[in-house]
Amino acid sequence: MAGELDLVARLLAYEGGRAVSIATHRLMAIRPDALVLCPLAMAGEDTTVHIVAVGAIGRPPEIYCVADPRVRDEQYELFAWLGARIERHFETCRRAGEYPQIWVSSGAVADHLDTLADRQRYNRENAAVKRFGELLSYQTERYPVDGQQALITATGALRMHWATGQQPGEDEHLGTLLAWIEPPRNTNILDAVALAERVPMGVKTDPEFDRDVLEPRVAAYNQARRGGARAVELRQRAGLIQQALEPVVRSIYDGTQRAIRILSRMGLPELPALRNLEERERDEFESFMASRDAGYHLPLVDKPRPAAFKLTAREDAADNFEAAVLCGDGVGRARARLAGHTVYGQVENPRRTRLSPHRFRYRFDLVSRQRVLRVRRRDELASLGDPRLRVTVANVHREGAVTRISAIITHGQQAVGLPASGTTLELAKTVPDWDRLIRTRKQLRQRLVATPWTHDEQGTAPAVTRARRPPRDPLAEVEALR
Amino acid sequence: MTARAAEPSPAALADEAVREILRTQWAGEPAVRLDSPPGAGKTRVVEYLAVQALARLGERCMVVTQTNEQAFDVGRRLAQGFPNLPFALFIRKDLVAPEDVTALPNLQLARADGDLPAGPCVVIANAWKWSWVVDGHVAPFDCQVIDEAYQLPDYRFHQIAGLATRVVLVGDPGQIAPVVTCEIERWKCDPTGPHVACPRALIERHAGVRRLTLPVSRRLVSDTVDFIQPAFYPELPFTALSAQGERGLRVRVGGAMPVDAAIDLAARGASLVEVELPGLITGEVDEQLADTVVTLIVRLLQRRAEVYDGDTERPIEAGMIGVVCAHVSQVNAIRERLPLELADVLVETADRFQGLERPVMLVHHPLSGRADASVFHLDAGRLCVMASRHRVVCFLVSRAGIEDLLLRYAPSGDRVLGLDEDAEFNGWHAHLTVARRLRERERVVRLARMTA
Repeated sequence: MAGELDLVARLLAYEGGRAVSIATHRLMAIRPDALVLCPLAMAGEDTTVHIVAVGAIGRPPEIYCVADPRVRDEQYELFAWLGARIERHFETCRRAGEYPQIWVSSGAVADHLDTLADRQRYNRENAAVKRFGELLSYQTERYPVDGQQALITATGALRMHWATGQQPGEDEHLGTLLAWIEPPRNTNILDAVALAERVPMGVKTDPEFDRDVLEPRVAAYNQARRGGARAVELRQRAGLIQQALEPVVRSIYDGTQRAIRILSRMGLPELPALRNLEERERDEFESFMASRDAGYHLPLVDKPRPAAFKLTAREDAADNFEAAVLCGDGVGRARARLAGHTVYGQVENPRRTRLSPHRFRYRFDLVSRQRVLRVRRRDELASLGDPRLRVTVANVHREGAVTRISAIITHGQQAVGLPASGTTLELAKTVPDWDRLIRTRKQLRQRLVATPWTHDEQGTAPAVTRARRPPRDPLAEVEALR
Repeated sequence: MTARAAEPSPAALADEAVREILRTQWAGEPAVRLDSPPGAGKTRVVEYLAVQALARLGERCMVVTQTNEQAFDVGRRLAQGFPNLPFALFIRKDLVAPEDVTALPNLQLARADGDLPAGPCVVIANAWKWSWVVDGHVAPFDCQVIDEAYQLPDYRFHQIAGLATRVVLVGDPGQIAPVVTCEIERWKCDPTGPHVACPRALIERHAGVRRLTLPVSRRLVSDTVDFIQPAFYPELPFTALSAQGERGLRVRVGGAMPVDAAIDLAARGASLVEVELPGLITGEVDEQLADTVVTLIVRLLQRRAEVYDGDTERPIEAGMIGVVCAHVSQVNAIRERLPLELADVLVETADRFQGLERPVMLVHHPLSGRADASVFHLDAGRLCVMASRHRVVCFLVSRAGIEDLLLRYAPSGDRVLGLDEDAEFNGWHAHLTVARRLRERERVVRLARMTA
C-alpha cells in the first residue's frame, strides 16, 4: 500500500510533466565544507580513474587527468593527488570535531569508489596510494548504513525528496532526474529527458565518444610513448586526452553541484533526527581515524566478532532511520500509515481498574479504519505524539472495515496519563532510540570477550568429557516423568 | 530360510530418531544439529531434551526460542506436560506475561539474572534475552537447546553460544531464512557470514558436528509429503506418520457451486488442491481472490465438512481453519471479509504462521496475480511454510498462469562464489515442481468466474 503512494506521486509527476515533492523535511545533511567528487573510469578498466574533478560546494573544481590510467605510475600519481586532498579534508574535519562528507553524482560512482577503496587500501607498492584507499574506505564502509551522512549520492538525495514520472531505475541518471525537477521552459518533459540522457552522468563515458574520440587519442599517446617520443609531444598528446575528457567530467561536477543547490534551496526544514544522525557520524569518523592512528588494518573479510559488531550497528541504523523518518517527516508517516506500520485511530472507552489498594491498570480501545494494519495481540507500541506513552496490545478485533485494538498502558501512566475518549492517537512499534547502539556495543564487548569454539574457525569442538551410559530407552524414561 | 525383518513403522522410526537425539546428550556430544521437516515434532524434542537434562542428567539447561511468544509456548508446554518438575521463564523486566502462563504453579518467572536458579534447572528465554546475560551473574549451563534454530542468524548465536558447554540446534532447514533488516552485501560471499542461519554457519566452520534428522512428519499426510519433500527437502527424506487414508476430509452435504469441486476433490483424498481463478494481473491485493477464499471457508461449513483421524471424527469449526498470505495487505483483505461468526479463522502472513498448524488451510499463493516473480515471492521457504501448515487439507488459491510466469522469469543465475546454495534457483525450482505436480495429478480446479 505504501508503494501505491509512491506510484501515485509518479503518475502525478508524469501527468504534470514535473517531479512531485514527496517529503516535508530535508532528510539528509548538507555540510558546508563537503567535497564534491566526480571520477571517470576508463571503459573496461573498473579499478581506474582516468580523470577526476574535485571541489568544495559552490566552488569550481580542481581537475586531474592521466593520459592512460592503465599505466600504473600515472594512475598512482592521480590517486596520490586525490588522496592528498581527501587527507586535507579529513584533517580539517577532525580538527573541527566534524565528519567528512563527500557528494558524488550517483550510485554507480559510489560503487566505483568502493571498488577503488577495497583495492588500494591493501596496496603494498605505494604508501600514498594505500593511504588514499584507507581514507576512502571511511566513506565506502559507511555507505551501506542507513542514515549515514558520509557519502551522499546526488540521485539518492534527490529521490528521497521528489518523485519523477519515469521508472525508478531511470532516476539513477542525474541528468534526467534534474530535468524532471527543473524542467526546461517550452520543452516537452520527455524530450528534455531524452536530451539529458545523452549526457554521461555516472562513472563511464559514452561508448560512441570512446570509439570516435577517446580511443584514438589514447592509442596515439601510447604509440608515441612506446616509440620514445619527446616529453613535449607526450604532454601535448596527454593534453588532447584531457581536452576530450574535461567537458564530460565538468558536466557531471556541475550536475552534482546543481543537485546540492536545489536541495539547499528547497526550503524544507531539517528532519529533527538529523542532529542525531550527524552526531553518530562524528562518533563513527573519530573512531575510524583513531583506529587508523593506532595502526589497525581494515579487514577484507570479517571474523565473527567484528562481523557481529558491524551487522548490529547496521541493523540499529536501519531501525532508527526508519523510525526517525516515520516520526519526523509527514510523507514518511503517511507511508507508514498506509503500510500499517503505525496504528492511527480514535480513543474509546479509557478506563482505570484498581488491581490492589495502590495499583491500577490503565486501558483504552483504539478504533482504526486503516485498511492495512500490522498490529497483533501482545505487540508493544509507543505513541508517536509522546513516546513516553507505551502500551501492550491486549486484543485486536476486526469487524469489516473497523479494527478495535484494546491496549494496556505499560509506561507513561503518570507522565502522559490515560488519553481522553475521542482523542486521536497514533502508535508505532519503533521510535528512534539513539542510545541503544551504545548499550548494545557495551553488551557485545562483554559477551564476545572470548570466542566460543562454535565461532572459532581454527578451533575444534571440545572433547567429550562427561560421557555417561544412556538408559536402554531414554525416550520412555522422559515420558515416564509426565 | 530366515524371515525378512518387517520394515519399522513410521511411528517406530520417529521414536527411534528421538531416542538417538536423547542419547547424544548422555554421550556428551558438544554440538548436534537436528534437521526436521515440517510437523515432525521439533518442539517436542526440545521438551524431551530439557526434561532429560534436568531430571535424568541433573544438569542446567537453557532453552532458546526466537520470540517471547515461543518462549511462553515452550514454558506452557513444559509446565503442563511435566507438572512435577520446576521450570523457569526468563523474560524482560517490563514484559507483560499472559495470565495462563503466570498462573502455572511450576513455572517461575525470572526477570533478572539474579532470579535464575543456581543448580540443575531448565530456563526458557528468547535469544535476545539470553544475549544480555552478564558473565559471572549466572552459573554456566551444561546444555543449550535452540528451538527454530534456522531462524537465528549466526551473529546472534555467537552472543549466546558461550553460555553452555553443549549445544543442540533444532530447526527446519526448509523454512524462511532469518530476517535481517539491513544491507548485507559485505558478507554475501561468506558462507559463515553473520546473517547466515546458525546451523548452516556451524557446519561450515565445523564439518564434524553431529547431524541428525527427524524422518517422520506427524502433521503432514503422505499425499502432501509427496509434494513437499521433493520440492523443498530434496536432501532430507521423510515420510508421514499417518497411513494413506487414515486422516482426511468428509462432507455431509452435497454442493453445486464452482468452489465445491475443490472441496469434493479434497473429500476424495487430495490433501493439496489448487483453486485457480482466471488469469489477471491484480497487484498485491486481489479482491476476487479474497472473496473466493472466504467463499471456500463458508462452503466448508455449510456443507458440514468433517475431519477424521483414525477413529475420531470432528466437524470443522472456524477455529480449525487457517489462511496464510504473503503480504499483510492480503491478510487484511481477507480479515475484513470474514463475517463475525468466522472471527476464529486464523489469517496471518507466512512469517507469523511458522510453527503453527490447522486441520484445514487456505493459501493465498504468493505468485498469484503478479506480473513478475521477485526473490521475495519466489522464496522457497515462504511457499514451504504456506503449503505445510495443514494436518488434513490445504487449498492453494491462485490466479492462472503461475507456471508461465515462472518460465518467463527463470533465475538469472547470479550465484555467489563460495556458496553452494542458489536461493533464487531453489525457490524457482520448488515453485515449478509444486505447480507441475498439481497439474499432472489433476489437482487444479479452475473457476471460470467469480463464485461468491
